Amino acid sequence: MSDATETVIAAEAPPAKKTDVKLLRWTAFLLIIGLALEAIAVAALSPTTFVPFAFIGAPCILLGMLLYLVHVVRELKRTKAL
Amino acid sequence: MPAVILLPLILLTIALVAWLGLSAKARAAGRAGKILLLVGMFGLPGFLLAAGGQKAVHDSGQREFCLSCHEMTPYQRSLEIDDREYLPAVHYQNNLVPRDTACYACHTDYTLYGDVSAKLNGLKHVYVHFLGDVPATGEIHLYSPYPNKNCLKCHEHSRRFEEVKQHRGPKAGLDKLYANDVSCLQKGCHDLGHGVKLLDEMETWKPGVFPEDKPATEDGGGGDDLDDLFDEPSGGGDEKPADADATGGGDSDATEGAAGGDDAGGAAAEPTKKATLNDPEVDDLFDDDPAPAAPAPTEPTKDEPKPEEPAKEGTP
Repeated sequence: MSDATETVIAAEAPPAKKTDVKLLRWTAFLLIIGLALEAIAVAALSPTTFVPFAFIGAPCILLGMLLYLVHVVRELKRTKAL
Repeated sequence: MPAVILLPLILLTIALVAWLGLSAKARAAGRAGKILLLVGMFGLPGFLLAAGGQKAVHDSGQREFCLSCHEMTPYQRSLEIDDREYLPAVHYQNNLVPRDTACYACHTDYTLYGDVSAKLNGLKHVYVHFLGDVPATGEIHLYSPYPNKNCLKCHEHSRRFEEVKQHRGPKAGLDKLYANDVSCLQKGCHDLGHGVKLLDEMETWKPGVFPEDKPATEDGGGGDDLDDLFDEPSGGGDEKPADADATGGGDSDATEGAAGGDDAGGAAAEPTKKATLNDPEVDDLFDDDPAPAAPAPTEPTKDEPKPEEPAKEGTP
């Protein structure tokens, strides 16, 4: 693909939708919850901190990462790169 | 990854993610913003999840982690008992298992999935701790019979283990032990386990207090710790600690000699020369520097009671 074509595609790409921004905010929210629980577990590991990290924190982080991937796929589809 | 590095990294990532989330619209528009989103919302969290998870799983094998539940307090105490025939204490105090992971070392099955099953058992413990009925002290039991493999991962084919008469006797037998046909913890053998119900009657080992510091009424405390563990008292088998004390638990070589020690014939009955740190032959091994000689033996004063002459090594 030539540089000229790339420029045309970028110029024609519509701006990010509101739903995409929402998705990114949800991603950030989930990641912050998960990372906060991980920080507590790392600072003072005990069964009381390990279990929330393992059963809430880690799934939150994974879900956040998954939502980000969904955002990326949507973005690629929107720009017709996929 | 150590917590000193991991924790600041997590906090920085939280700040980055918060900033990215708040300015998502602007970030999603530009190329640099997209790269920042990729790093902050996918790369770093993924890395931190892996590193934090690995650290948490590793640290959950630490003794302090197990003992952080109050139900486990007596089990901690069982490691500190001042009795040389008390299995958990002997293993812990003599560093036969790593002290930091003493619980995990003995309670992890020696199989491919041993660690996984230990972690799953740990989760069951946590469930019971928070949501179930915690058994009373001394009523906590293993989910399944203790497998010999957990002992044999260290003791299998070790000379000291195989030379113990009881391990080769009709009750046990090496083949049966190795095949897990008879349990190491069977009645009359090492059946005491942690013996948490008996702990109140027992003294606690104080690091830094040596046998010679103890009152003369207590047993001599000399001799090899491991010999004390494996040389069965005259009653045979592992007796309850109270009985073991009565029969000379932690028996020194001198008492062993006087009491007959191993009552078996063969090598055990034959006087054997045991190496001790006072043995001149052993001293030679450590004599790197001949100049700082050992302090000259002092004559006991008239007021002091003369220490009992230990039985000569090698004399029956």
